[in-house]
Amino acid sequence: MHRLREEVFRIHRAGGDADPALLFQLAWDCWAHQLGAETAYLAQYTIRQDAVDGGDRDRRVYARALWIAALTVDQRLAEAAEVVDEGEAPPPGSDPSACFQLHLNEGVVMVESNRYEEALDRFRLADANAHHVDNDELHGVLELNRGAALNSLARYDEAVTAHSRALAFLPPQRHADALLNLANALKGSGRTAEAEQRYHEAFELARGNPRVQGSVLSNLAALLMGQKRLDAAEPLLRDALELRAEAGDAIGQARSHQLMSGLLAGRGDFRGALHHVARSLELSRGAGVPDDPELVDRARVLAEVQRRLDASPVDEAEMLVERMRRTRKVAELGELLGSASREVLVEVGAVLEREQRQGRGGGAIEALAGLVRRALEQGTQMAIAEFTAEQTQRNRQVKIAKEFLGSATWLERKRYYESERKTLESEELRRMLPGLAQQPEPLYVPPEKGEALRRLVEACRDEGVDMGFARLPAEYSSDLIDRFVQVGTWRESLALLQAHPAYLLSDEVLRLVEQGMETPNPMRRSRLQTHLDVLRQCREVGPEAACAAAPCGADGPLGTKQVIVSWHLGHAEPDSDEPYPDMKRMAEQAAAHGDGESELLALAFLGKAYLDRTDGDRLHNLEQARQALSRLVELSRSKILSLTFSGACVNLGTTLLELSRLQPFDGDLLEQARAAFGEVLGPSDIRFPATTARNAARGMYDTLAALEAADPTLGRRAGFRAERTSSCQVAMDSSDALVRSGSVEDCREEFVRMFWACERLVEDRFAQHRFADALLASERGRGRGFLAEVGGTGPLPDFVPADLARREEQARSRLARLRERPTQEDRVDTLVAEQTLVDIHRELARISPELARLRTGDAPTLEELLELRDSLAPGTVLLSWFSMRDACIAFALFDDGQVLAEKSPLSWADLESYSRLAAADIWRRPTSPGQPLSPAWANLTDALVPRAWCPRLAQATATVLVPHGLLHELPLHVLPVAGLDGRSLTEIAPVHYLPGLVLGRRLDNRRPDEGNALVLAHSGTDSAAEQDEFLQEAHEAAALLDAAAERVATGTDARIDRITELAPTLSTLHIAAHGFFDPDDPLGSGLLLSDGTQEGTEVLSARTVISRMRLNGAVVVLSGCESNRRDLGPTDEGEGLVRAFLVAGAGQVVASQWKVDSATTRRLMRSYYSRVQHGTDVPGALQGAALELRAAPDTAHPYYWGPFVAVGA
Amino acid sequence: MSLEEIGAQTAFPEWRPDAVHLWLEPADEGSGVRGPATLPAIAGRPQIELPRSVFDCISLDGLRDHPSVDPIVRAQLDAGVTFRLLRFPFSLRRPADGCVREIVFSVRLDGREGSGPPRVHSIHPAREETHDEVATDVALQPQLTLGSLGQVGVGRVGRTVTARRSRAAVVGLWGELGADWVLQAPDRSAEGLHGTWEFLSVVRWDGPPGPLSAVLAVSATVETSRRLWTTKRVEHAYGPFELMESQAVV
Repeated sequence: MHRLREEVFRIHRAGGDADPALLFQLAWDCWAHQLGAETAYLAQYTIRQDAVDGGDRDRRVYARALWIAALTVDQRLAEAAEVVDEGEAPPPGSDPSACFQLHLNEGVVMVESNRYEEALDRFRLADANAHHVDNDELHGVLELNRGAALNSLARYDEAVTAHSRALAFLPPQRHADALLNLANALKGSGRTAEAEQRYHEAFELARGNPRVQGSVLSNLAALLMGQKRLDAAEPLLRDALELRAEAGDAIGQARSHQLMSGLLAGRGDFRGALHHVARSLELSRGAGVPDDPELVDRARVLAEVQRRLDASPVDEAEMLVERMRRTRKVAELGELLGSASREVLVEVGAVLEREQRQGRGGGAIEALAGLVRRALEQGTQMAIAEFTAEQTQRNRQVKIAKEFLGSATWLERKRYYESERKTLESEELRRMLPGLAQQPEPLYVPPEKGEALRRLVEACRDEGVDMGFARLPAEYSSDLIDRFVQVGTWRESLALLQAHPAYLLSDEVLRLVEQGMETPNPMRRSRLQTHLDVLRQCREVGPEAACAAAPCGADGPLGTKQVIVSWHLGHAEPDSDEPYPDMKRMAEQAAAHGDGESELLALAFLGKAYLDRTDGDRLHNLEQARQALSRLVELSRSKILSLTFSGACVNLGTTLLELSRLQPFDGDLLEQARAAFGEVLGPSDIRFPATTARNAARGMYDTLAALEAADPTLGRRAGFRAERTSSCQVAMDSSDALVRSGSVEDCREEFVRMFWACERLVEDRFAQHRFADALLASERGRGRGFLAEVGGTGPLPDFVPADLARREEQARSRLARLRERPTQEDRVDTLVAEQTLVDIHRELARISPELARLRTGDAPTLEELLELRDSLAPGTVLLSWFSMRDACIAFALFDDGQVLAEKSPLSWADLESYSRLAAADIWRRPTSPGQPLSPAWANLTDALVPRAWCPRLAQATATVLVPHGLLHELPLHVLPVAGLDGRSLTEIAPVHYLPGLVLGRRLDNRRPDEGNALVLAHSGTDSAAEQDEFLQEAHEAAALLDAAAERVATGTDARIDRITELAPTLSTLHIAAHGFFDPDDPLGSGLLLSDGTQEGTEVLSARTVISRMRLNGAVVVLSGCESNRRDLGPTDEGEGLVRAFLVAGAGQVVASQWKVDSATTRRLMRSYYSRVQHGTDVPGALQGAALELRAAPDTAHPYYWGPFVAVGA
Repeated sequence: MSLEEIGAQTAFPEWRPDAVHLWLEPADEGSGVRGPATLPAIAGRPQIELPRSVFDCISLDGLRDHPSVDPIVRAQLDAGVTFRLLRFPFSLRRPADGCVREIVFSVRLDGREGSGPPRVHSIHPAREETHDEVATDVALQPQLTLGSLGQVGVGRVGRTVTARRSRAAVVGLWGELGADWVLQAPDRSAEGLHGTWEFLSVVRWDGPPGPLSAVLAVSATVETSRRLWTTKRVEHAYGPFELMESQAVV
């Protein structure tokens, strides 16, 4: 195509002087390649050349039609209308077909320019030539546009006729247009139900065409607005705006903005309405459409209303409260609060408090008042984040209560209760229950059901869940027997026997069970026989002894009831098309006899076996798996079989997804996969096993991606995006649950694997302008393995009761043992062990929530973020980054709670490039101390530190930097920041690095003993000058630290065991030694003391530190080369010496990012310790020392003054 | 005459490495830093050859109406902004007893006091893998940046550059006052980096082009006896000079 464009350029430069036939041909070529501008001026040149040469009459008519069409398609409507207005009628005798096309195109321009009568005139002229045109599509287009003009003139019945004709003429791929117009005409003629139906049909047909889809949604929204269904209309309009923007449909956007303006004005959002009117006018003018006087007038009125409201905060507050009350979405509440001035917010708070005092609005007003109060105290972003978390939590709790109450059977309710016990027994739900009787749906809970739940919870708390449920009265005659047989453990059966001894041990029950054994189902017979035996035993030796002696599949005396399965049926015949004949027969027979239990077992086996089978025809295997799993899903759809059900859903979804990949695109298959995964993905709490939920989430994400790949417009729709976000949320929550319960052996690998979800979640939250939530989400992808390790190892502190500490240790050991021999039989035991550990950590959380979070490596919480904000000293600015494959988001958190965020297109590849530049430009000794840094850094810092933030940054008293992924490799503190007039962050304020945002809070309780220092120095070579630098630094540091002589270890005395011996008692550990970093073995890199060489085994490396050191909050200074390097990964799970020291218990670590100059380092350390001696904190002392070096001409380059950074709490 | 033909006629002449010769001396890291000594006792020195006194330059004034020039650039041209395409070539000879693993080639621009300074508008390449003998089609993208043929969607004005050089992964980074190209040998073979490279930059003046000063600098990482060591950075300053051999495209 570029050759075509260059040809046009050549003709253009030659002033269009070319053969008109060639020009016309090129014009058609350009039209075919959608080169509107080129088509327009080639068509224009054709006409001009033909006029000069007295050329082809018909070609001129066609060229004119093409010129108009090109201008119209390029939205240059004013020019197009001018061409039409100035145009002469085609010369007599012109080709009727050419005349038809010319008049048709002229009519279209008139329609687009809102000159409908003239459009109809042009269409009539086209009609006169229509009998010479045998192209149905052109007739269809004519009718389509005629209908549009008639519709705009309110001649709806005629429009319906025109559009019906258009539908008959147009090919199927254009039916969406025709249906849309037909729906518009039907709407106009008052046939709204019919119109709505046609809109939906048109939307489906227009898949992949954002222009038409946007138009459909906009028109449907207009219909709903006419019916006062504003809540339904608004999301449609938002989607329409997105779709039309993607299609580049300026006029369509203008129309949607106009509608949105009306909608918002109707809700009292005059500022929003004014914005949309202005945008509508701007877009129309850009397309050359004359201003609509009514719209101009609306803009004027809205501006006046807004001006008056601005002058009266009280009035604006009243309006705002009204809108807040009507708002359903938290993001919109955030927008509302964000748009209001502080003065207005104060008034809003007053209005809400007044309404509260008057008892109006109940809990909703109370919640809003709390939100506004928080927004005034801590900024909108934080307030919204907190509010969202509370609302989500409340809705989740109510949903769980309602789902529990809606369970069909006793056993379903019991299983549900066990899985949601924490929520159902929570104090919040207990307090909430009575009020729910007054709430509308979906929160309404009937008072009698609420009361029943309250009583049950009390019973379960007092006597345990088994007994609480056992005591519930029977609901039908054999209910108690069914419970006794169906429950999965003998412990539960015992509880039933204890609660109802007279009935369950009666002769009648024995007789009923014996009767039940007449079933043809061998498995049920076997099960009933076992229970009959136990009942008989109960009568002889008592229930406890009988249940204890019953056949058990678990370790405990009253463990899981043993189920005997004929696994030999699962033998395979590898080369056959029917590789599992016995199992298949069993499934068929069971289905024939109505033996659900056996069928279920056989199908579970068949579904999984076919899905995993790699022999034979893959399509055949997948089809077999699909059949078995579809039936399995149907059979297991109950809360009792949640494990089977959820596993079957995920396997079915996976099967369907894979089938869709092996075949030509089939939307139905993907929709079925979406439905299957959707069965498992509920709200973010995890009711199904975490592994299953995680797999379902990944499957759902991939399915949605496949659907979006086929129809990119889906990604523009809010509902679709929300579904995708939700799958990411579930994936991350599941992953966290797995880590929390100790179910994954390698946390790092787990978090790397889940980075996709984190990335998407952060991007979505950012796109919604929920910056605090985006920041929090980004923390879930930042060094999580590290976070888990920081607190997850070692004994619990003394204040934890010994019994709890012992049980935690036992639970961990048991889990580790079970994982060593994973078998099918252990699965339930493993689940139980994991749950036990979770329960223990819940107990721990009651004693110390911080310790529990630390212990479990739990995801950072909003509370921690708020604590962090509260802990920031006045004037502190925290800068955090989250780097993704193709972009990087920068966050700023200020001491007043304000959270800002900006996204830049810095990719992982870009960051790698900058790392290479850093190695050459900063890490390497400069030719001269005045050697300027690369100008390229300005582009990087512009992206990482947006200029808009710089005025506040320039006032900072301290800066905390939280890098991510590859950014750890860049010396962010020394780079010239364009927005700070080229000054670096170190020149503004002390800089402090944190490996993770909440890590500082989690390390905060480390308090070292005061005044215990240990100083080591080892040069590793015989060089006298160098020896001097190391020794002198050690003695200077020791003197400034008041360290006793025996606390200075040099030469052969500088050994690792000197550190391990004293580590727990140290407040400062200073090591001056050679350091090295080997990218092939980051964990083996470190400092060389007297017992190590680079090739030796006793390097003070990350590995040594993690295995041998236990510190208690000491400040560790690693005064050697490259001590802050680490293995790098984009997902931030890399390890290094500094992280190792933090895991080992250090409070802060001072370390270097590159190979440091020895003499300068000694000067820097002397200056640093003299400042520490005078009470300056670590980052402040380091900044002072660095700036002192920077001021000296011989060390002005960052290579000298910038290598050391302070990392930690 | 097609644009390709015009471009070929106005192309840069072939650059021959026979101008400024510089040795890349070892930096004194081994004795001065707090890391294990890495510099062998005897080390070979790589040699660099840079242009003698001026850079090659192509005027881009005539591109205003080219369909592939984007509207922002066109508006800048209308406002009197001028663009020139500059070539920065250099050659590297590897040391006799080692190989070069990485080179950093830097360009810093300046103008004369009183006249508007030149600004880097774009560079080429920003990221590419080069091969033993490469024909790079230098072309202008809509944004008036440069890219290889594979990246160009529309419009192509320029020429084909053929140069002998070793395989390298090249990354270019730039700011308004200059650019840096980092070249890395893609594998650990004994070959390392050697040969000729040409880097290009579109430079912008807010008015007519003024005198240009520039500093070219090179530093390298060398491997000898399986030890890596770095060289000092060598620099050569040019100008200020009026741009010479300026040729207009179309």
